Amino acid sequence: MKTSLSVITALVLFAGISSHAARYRAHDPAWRGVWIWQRTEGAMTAATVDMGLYIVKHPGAWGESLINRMAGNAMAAGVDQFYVRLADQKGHLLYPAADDARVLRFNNWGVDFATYDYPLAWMKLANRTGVSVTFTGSQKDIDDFKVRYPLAKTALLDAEPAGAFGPDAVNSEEAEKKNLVNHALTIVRDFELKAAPTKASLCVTAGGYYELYVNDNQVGMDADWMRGETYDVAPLLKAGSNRITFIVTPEKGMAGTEKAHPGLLFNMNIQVPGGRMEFMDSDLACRIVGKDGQLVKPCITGFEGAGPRFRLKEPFRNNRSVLDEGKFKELTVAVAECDGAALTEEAKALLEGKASLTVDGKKTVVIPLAKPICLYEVRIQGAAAGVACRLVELRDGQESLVAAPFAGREEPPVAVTNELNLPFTPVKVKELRVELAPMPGRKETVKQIQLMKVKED
Amino acid sequence: MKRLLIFLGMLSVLVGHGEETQWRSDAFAIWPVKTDFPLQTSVVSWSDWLVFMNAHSREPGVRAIINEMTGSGIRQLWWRTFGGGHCLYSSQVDGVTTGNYAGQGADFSKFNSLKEAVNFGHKLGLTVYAWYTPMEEAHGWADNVRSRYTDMHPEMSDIDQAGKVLNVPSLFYETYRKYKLDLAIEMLECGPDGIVIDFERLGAPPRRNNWGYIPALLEEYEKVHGKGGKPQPNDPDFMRFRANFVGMLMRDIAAEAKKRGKRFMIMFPHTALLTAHTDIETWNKEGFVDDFYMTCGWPFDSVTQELLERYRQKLGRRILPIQYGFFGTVPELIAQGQKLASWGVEDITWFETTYLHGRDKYAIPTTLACTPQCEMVSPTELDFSGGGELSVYSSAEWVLRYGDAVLGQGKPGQVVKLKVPAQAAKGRLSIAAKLPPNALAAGVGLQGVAISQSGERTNVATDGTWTSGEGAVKTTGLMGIPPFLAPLDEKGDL
Repeated sequence: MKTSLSVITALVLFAGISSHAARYRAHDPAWRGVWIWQRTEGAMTAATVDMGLYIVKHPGAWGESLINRMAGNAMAAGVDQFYVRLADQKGHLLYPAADDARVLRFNNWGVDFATYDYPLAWMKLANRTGVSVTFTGSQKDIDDFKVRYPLAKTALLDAEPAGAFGPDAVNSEEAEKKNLVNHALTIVRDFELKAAPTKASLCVTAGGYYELYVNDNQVGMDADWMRGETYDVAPLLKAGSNRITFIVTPEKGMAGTEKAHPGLLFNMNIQVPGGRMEFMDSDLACRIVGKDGQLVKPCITGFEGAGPRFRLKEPFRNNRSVLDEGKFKELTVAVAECDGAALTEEAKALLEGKASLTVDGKKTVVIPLAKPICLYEVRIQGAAAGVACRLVELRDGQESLVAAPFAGREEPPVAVTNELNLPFTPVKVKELRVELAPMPGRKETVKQIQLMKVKED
Repeated sequence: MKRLLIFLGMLSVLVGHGEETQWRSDAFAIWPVKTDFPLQTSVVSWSDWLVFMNAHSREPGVRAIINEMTGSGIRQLWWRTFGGGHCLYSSQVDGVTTGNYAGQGADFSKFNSLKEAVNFGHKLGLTVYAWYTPMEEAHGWADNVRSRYTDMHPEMSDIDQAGKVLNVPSLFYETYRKYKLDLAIEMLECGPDGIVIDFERLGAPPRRNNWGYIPALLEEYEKVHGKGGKPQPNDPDFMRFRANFVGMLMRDIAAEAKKRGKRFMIMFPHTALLTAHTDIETWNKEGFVDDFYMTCGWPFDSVTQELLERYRQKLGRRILPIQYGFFGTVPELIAQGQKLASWGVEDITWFETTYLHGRDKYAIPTTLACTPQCEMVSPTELDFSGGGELSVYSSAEWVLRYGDAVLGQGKPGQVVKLKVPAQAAKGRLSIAAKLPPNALAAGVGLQGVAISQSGERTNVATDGTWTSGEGAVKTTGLMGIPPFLAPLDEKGDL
């Protein structure tokens, strides 16, 4: 099947990865999968967010850590809709707005909402986890916001759901009692394989106690949520239909935990004959077996590292080791791996980080590969200010959204950053199309596009 | 009295056009610190604040921690540079593994937290030491925050008495010592006042006396001491021989510190002066260590006192105790601090700020260090002949005077903006303030402008140049940062 991939991107960039011979960044690449669980009927799934209020009530939080802490704690309680206010209660704007005088800042403290792009961080989170993010404000504030973030989802303040959590923080432990079921769940993931795999490993952990079955064969069990287990499941998978089943029981006081946290998290790498890798993570494609046997959709309750509640220990990582700069380079798609005849000089320079591509309006960069390569991340470096991006796959000439990070989203997010990393569940591509489009009225300079690949055995 | 209230009411009218909306960078919270009480130190593990507190991150996170700590009268900090095998600042040393909690948005490789802590701490007049744990390549258990250096250099693994390869590099190897030294140099280059080497943290698994049975090391030992085979782990000669490889690193770090005019300190567990990894007596005799800190149990009791005295006599110098554990009520802990002071301890080190913060125990150092009430006076006479504007915020009740005239007063946690009427004569500002019981922070911050009759404007702000008869006035925070976060914008309070 001819597979090509198009990354449509409007950008802002800058950066530059410094290249020292042997430095390591722990937990890089970030690992895959989200925590899933089941909501109660009538759960409150929305939270309003006032980041100005949050940092006053919870001083010290800043940057991506602030977003991940706020969202992580809310998601742990079953929240998946965020209504992020553009202004605080006193009318200060909470993003790098054109009306700079209105932007919230505490100079001595280093808090300056003009220097960190919170809308971008929220949208990256939405891409990663699938939660909904809507920016709310007055009509005037929305109009101004839209100039910078034309594709962001916005709504008037009145549209915030009554009774929503927030606006400064969700007490997740309290809220989850109301929002999440507290009994044993059977969670299944059904999938097809064209052939029996040559290799397959499954990493899993769960809040409480889990039992894992692959095609009705019991594989393992554990009760320590902070550490995951990796199982070789290749012998139990087969060509045709497969089902992985997790029976998860919330228990308290199990090893390594002070109390149980409901949830299930896994990721799986499958290698099929011919060497092709397939990937499957805990996500909304899983189903929970209801009382009558009906399969119901789970909800996302968190992601790794989003606060103490979901801080996993080292062994539970992707099946990728920590990368040093050398290994990092090994995983960066090189010019030699492209279809040289079809690769333009411009695209070549971008891949090599030698470009200085000025983008004024929409610009598409085509990166044809010599053979299909499994990618897990796209990194765009440059100097710029705004980006809208979505990841689509071309099938038989028709564009369609592929898996994470943008699967299921009605419209692409918009972002502003000086460095853009787009991690996603690995997908094999033959041709990558990167469409760059700066924010209206801006010119941007893109220096490098890096395609990160999965190293296949 | 009624007339006074009316007068105060007139003064307290918010100033209008041209008012300042931000605290200036020269406006500090100040308070007198007792001169007859020991220095108080606290260690700061920023990564703990990130994970367990409010996701403290980047400059706002670092500044909030330090401001809060300083507000309680702590004057010295040890800033943690490593969590197990993960570096907590943006190190550039080859081979280093930098902390990165992906889901928490905390990538330590992108922010030099040590430099920020040093710069901000110095701005507040604190002494800031880099706290270095070179014996650790993991913390708590073997796979927790484990360094990649360990995995990448199996050829330098230590070996135990039973011949087990331990997958932790040994400082017997010069390459490994050089790597550890490069990290120390990098820390010193960030500008701290010194470096503290921690021998309480020995890694995971912890380095023990039955380590160091590397064939090349044993051969060398035989050459030097004429003892072949496998000496006993607790053989003093063999312990001293192995500890000397650690000593080589210590001497090198100390030399680098001295070269830069920095202090070099060692923290060791109270259990022994000599192990296979530490040789406190020898290092003390060599004279390259500026201070020794000893970790003790908890609470401080006669056993602690005896230990301190024993080691003090043995080493012929002061030994500073560090409590390990943080149990008890605020009054009990205050009593412990007072007990240490009565023993003549000159530096009380708290482990650590997360405990002080998390349990609202900042009342402990605040009570111990800060005078319960004070009167502080501006260093120079000011000219308000054309009037002026002042903003005041404090954790205490306060009254502001100009000479004998009361300009304003306020309660803890309220911003008060004053319009100062024209004053006939030059004079000094004075602030009389009183802390509420169990205050978590002590400080009064003031900023504004004095306007002369000719229209000349002079900035006024509280800083360390103010004086007090009750103690040594110190900056206890920078205004505009918790716990002295008090926006001056047009909407007033939070």
